[in-house]
Amino acid sequence: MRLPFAILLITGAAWAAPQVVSLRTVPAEATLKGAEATQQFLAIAKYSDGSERDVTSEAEWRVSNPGLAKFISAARVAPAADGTATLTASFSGTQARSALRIQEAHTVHPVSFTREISGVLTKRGCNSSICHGGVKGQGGLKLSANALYPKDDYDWITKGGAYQVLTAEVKGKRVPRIDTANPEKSLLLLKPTMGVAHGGGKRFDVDSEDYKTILGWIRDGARYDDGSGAAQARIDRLDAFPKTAVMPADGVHHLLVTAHFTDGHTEDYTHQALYTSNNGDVASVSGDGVVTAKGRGETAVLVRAAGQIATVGVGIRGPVLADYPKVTRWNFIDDFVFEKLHRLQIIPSEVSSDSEFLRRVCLDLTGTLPPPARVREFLASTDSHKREKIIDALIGSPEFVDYWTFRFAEIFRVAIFANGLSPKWSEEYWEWIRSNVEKNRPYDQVARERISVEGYSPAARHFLPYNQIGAPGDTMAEEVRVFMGRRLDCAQCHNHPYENWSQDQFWGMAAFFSRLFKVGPVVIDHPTNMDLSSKDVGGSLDLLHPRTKVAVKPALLDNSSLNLAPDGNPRKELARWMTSHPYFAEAAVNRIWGQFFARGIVDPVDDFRSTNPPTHPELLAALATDFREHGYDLRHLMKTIVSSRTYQLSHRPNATNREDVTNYSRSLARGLDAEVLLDAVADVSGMPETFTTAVTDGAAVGQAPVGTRAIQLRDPDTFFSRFLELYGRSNRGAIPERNSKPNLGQALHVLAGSTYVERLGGQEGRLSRLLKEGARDEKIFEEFYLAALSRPPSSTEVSDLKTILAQRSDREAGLREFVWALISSREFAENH
Amino acid sequence: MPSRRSFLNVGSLGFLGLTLREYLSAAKGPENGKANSVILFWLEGGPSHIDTWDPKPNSNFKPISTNVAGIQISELLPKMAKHMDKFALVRSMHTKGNDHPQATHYAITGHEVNPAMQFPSLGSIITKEMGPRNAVPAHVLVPKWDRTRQYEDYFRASFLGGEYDPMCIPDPGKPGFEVTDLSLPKTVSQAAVEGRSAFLQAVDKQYRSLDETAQHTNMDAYTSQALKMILTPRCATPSTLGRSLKRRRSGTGRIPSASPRFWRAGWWKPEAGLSLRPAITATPGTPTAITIRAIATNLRRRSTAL
Repeated sequence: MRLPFAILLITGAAWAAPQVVSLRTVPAEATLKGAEATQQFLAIAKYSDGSERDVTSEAEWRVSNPGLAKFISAARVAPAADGTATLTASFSGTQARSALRIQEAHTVHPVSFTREISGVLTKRGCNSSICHGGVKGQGGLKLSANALYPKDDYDWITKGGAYQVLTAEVKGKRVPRIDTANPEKSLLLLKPTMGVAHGGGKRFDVDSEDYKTILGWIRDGARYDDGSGAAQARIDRLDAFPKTAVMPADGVHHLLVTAHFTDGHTEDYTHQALYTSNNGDVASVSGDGVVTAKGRGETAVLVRAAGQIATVGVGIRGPVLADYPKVTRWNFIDDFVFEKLHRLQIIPSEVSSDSEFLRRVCLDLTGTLPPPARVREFLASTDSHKREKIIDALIGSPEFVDYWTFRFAEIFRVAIFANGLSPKWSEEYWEWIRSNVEKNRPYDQVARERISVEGYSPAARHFLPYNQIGAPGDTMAEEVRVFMGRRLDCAQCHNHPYENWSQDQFWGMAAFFSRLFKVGPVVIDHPTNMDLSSKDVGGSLDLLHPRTKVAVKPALLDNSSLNLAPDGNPRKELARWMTSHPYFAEAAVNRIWGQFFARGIVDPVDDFRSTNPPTHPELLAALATDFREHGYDLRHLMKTIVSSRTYQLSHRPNATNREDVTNYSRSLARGLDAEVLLDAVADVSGMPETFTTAVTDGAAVGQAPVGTRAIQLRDPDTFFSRFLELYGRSNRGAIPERNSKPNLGQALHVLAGSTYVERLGGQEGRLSRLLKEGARDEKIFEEFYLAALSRPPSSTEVSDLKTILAQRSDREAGLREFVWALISSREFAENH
Repeated sequence: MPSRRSFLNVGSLGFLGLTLREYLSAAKGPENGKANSVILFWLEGGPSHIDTWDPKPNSNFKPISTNVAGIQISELLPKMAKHMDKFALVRSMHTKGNDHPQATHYAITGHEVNPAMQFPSLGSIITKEMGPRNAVPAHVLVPKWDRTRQYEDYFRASFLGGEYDPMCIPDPGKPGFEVTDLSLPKTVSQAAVEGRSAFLQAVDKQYRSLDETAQHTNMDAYTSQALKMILTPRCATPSTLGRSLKRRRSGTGRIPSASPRFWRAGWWKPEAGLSLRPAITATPGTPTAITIRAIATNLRRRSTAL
C-alpha cells in the first residue's frame, strides 16, 4: 500500500522544482588592454525559490563581433582587435549581457620579473611556505612567500648564492640561477622541468606557456621591470567574487578575481592567482578557481597573488527547505546571523526557556549562579520585560565587577612574578584593573594607558616580568596580540611564513619598546642624551635588527607617518595609532563575543589571520563600528550581545542545526572555567572554599579571608588549589589559553578528591541546614536543583530520585550522594 | 639513537611537520636501542656542576678518573665514576637569565619565557607522541610542589591539551603518603561509590538525552578509567606507583614495565643533595645519590648494548 504514496511524493517534488527566473553576467563590463589581457566571465542564474546558482559552464556564450574578441575557453575572452563589443550568455530561456571594450589589442608589453615571473613562481607553488617560500627556503634558494618581496627574489635568482636565516650574509659563492648566454641551461628552467634533480618535482613542462614566458624573459635580458621606465604599478588588493559562495552538496562555483593596481587600473587575475581550500573535505578548488563541493560544512578558499590575499567563504548547504520560517530579529546582530543561516538553509532553534536563559546570562555576565530565591522570582514573574530587567540588574552589579576584574586580570596578567616580583606592586596593578571595570572606563583609554604608561604607575606593572624589563620584541608582541588580535611572533626571526608580516615590520614595532628602562618599579623611556646604565643594568639604547645588525627605528605596521620627539615617550604615538586602528575595535569586540558564545567570530579570539577568516565578517565590522561609536563602552557592547535573540536561543537542537557549530543557530554548551566551577560548587553546597598560600610542610602561611570566591583571588598563583589546577587555571606567565578539556585527573578528583569529599562530609552547608529544618525529600531536591541548575526538577526526575533514595538504608548518606551527583553532573558543569 | 645533545636541541619541530618520533627515526645514529621512557631528575637548586660532573680548579673537591678515559668527575661520585660509560655528559648547557623560574622554563620547554605564548614541556611532548603504556598515567611528576604552583606549570602541556599534563604525586618519603585522588577516603565505602552512579544517571538523564557531545563521551571514558583505578585492589592503597616509589627511594627498586613514560623526580631542599662545606663528603644515603645509583644499576641490568 506504500506505492501510491511514493508516487505522490515524486510528482509532488517534480512539480515543486524551482524555475530559472533571471540571469546575470559578472562582471557587467570589462576592459581588455594589451595583447595578453584576458577576462573571465561568470553567469549566475536566479531561481524561483530565491536561490542562485553558478551556471557558467552550462550557459551558451557569444560575442557580438567575433573579429574583436575570441573565446579561449568557455567563458574567457582574449582580444583580437580594438573596439567595443557585447558578450551574451544564454541559459534555460534567459539571457544576460556584458559590455566589452578592447584597447591596444596588438601591443605586447615586455615580460617583467615583477609581473609575469613572480606570477609563475606563485602559481606554480615555487614560493609556497613548504618550498622555497619557507623559513629557510629550499636548497639554498629563498623566495618570498606569495612574492611579497620581488626585489629580493630577483636578486636570489639573478645573482645566486645560498640564503641564511639568521644573518643577511650570503653563504658560498654567488652563481646566478639564470644563464643569459645559454638560456635553456638556466637552473630556473632546468629545475622545475626536472631537467636536473629537483626536490620539488616537475612544476611545468618544457612546452608550457610558463616555460616560454621564463625563457623569453631570460633571452630579453632578464629585466626586473618592464623597461618602460615608468614607475611600476603594484597590486594594491585582490577582489574575489563572490565573497561567499553557498552551494548544494553537488554544487560547483567559478570564482572571479580582479586585481586592483596602485595606479587605479584593474585586471582580471582569475587565471593568475593561486587557489587553496582550507578544508578539502568540505570543498576543493581547481587551479583555475573552480570550487567543487565535497561535503556539508563551511570552509574558506584562499586566493593569493603578488603578496596579496583574498578569501572566499564557502558554505555547502543541505537541500533548499520548502518552508523556511520567518525568523524574528531583535537587534542588528540577529540581522547578520539569521541572514546567513537562511542562506545556509539552517533553521535556528527556539528561544531559550526562562531557566536556560537565567542561568546562562548570570554565568556569562557575573560568573555566579543565581540563588534559589532569585530563580523562583524570575520564573514566577509575568513581566514581559523581565529579561531586559535582569540584564540591567546584572550589568554593573558587584558580582559583575568581580567577574570582569578576574577576566581582565587574566588577559592583562596579574601575577606576582609577572609584575615585578612584588606582592604590593601586583596588588596595585589588580586595583587599577578593578577600578577600570567598576567605573566602566572606555576601553581605548585603558589600552592607551597600559601601552604608554611611565613612572611609578600601577598600569606599568606588566612591563616587569621577574622584576626586569622584558625583551622589546616579546613586550610588543604581547600588546599587539592583546589589543589587535594579531600574532606577530613568527616574524621575529624571519618574514612570517603565512601572513604578510615581515621581520622588518616586527622589529620596527618592537623599537617602540627598545628604550624601556626601569629604576626600581619606575618605568621610563631611557633618555637619549645620557646613559643611566651601570655595571648591573644594561643601557643599550639601540635595538639591532637581528639579521642585518642595523639599528632599527620605530615604525608602525602600516607605515603611517610618525612624529616622534627624540627624548619623548614613543609608546604614546604607538598607543594612539593602535587604538584608532580598525584592528583594535574588531579585536576587542571579538574577544568579548568569545566570552558569550562557544567561539569568537574569529577563533581563537586573538588569532586574526588570512587563513583564519571571520565566520561573519559583516557582523564583526558592524559590532566594531557600534563599539567605536559608543566610545568603546564595554558594558554597552555586552548588553547589545545578550539582548540579541541570537544569544538567547535555546541549546536544544532541531533537525537542521544539530551539526552546526560555527553559525550560532543555537546555544552550544561550554564547560565552566575552573574558578567559576569551583565557586559554583561552593555556592551549591553552601560551604565556601578556603584558599591558603605557600603551604610548607602542612603549616598554612597565609589564608584568604573566609568566603573569598575563586574569581576574587587577586593573585591566584600563590593560592594553591588542586581543583583549579586540574580544571585548567592558567598561570599567567603568558597570555592565558585555557584548556578545560576533560582529563583523567579531573575524573579522579571528582570521585575521590578533597574538594568533593570535604563538602559531602561537612556539618555546615545547605544540606545540613535543610536537614535540621526537617525538610522533606521533595523540598531538598527542589532546593538543590534551583541552586545548581536554575530549574525545578521534573516530576520524572523527582520520582527517579525518590526511588533511588528509598534503596538507601541511611537517608542522610543517600542525600549526600544525591548532592555529589548533582555537582558532578554535566548539566551542572556546563553553561548551556 | 641520536645523542642526547641533539635531542635537547631539537626545539620546535611543529612547523616542519615532523613529529618527534619521525625525527628520531630519521636522525639515525648508531643503533643502540630505543628509549621507551624518560626519568627526568630535576634538581631545583641542586648541587653545583662544579662540585659534581664538571670539575673545575676552583672546586672544593678533587676530580677522579672514571671508567672512560679522558672523563673526570668529582670525587663525591665514586660509584658513578665506575659506570661512566653508560652516561652521556653535557657540560655546555647554559641559560641567558640567572633566575630559577626562567631557567626552569627554558630547560623544560626549550623556549625563553614569552608573555605572548606558553609552550608545552618536554614530558608533555613525549606523552603526546608516544602515548601511555599499560593504562598507567603516562606523565608523572613527583613530588608535587606544595608551595607556589608556578614551577609546576612549566611542566604542563599548555596548547597540547590538558590530557598531557603531568599527574602530580606527593613526596613518597613523607608519612601518610598516598597518591592524590587515587585512594578513597575512609568514610566512603566502595558500595557508596557505586551507588553514586545511580544518582548521577538520574540527574544527567534529561540533559544528556538532548545533546550528547564528544566532550561527554570523553569524560565518561575518563570516569570509568578513574573508577577502575580507585576500586581495583591492586591500585588502591598503597598504590603500585607509590610502592615502586618507596622502593626506589631505598635504592632497591626496579623500573616496572607498567610505568609512566616520563617521570620527573626532584627535591627542592638543598640538604637532599650534597653538602658544599669543605672537608665533608657526600652523605651516601641522600636520595639523589641513591636514586642515581639505582637508575644506573637498572640501566646496566636492562641493557646489553649500552
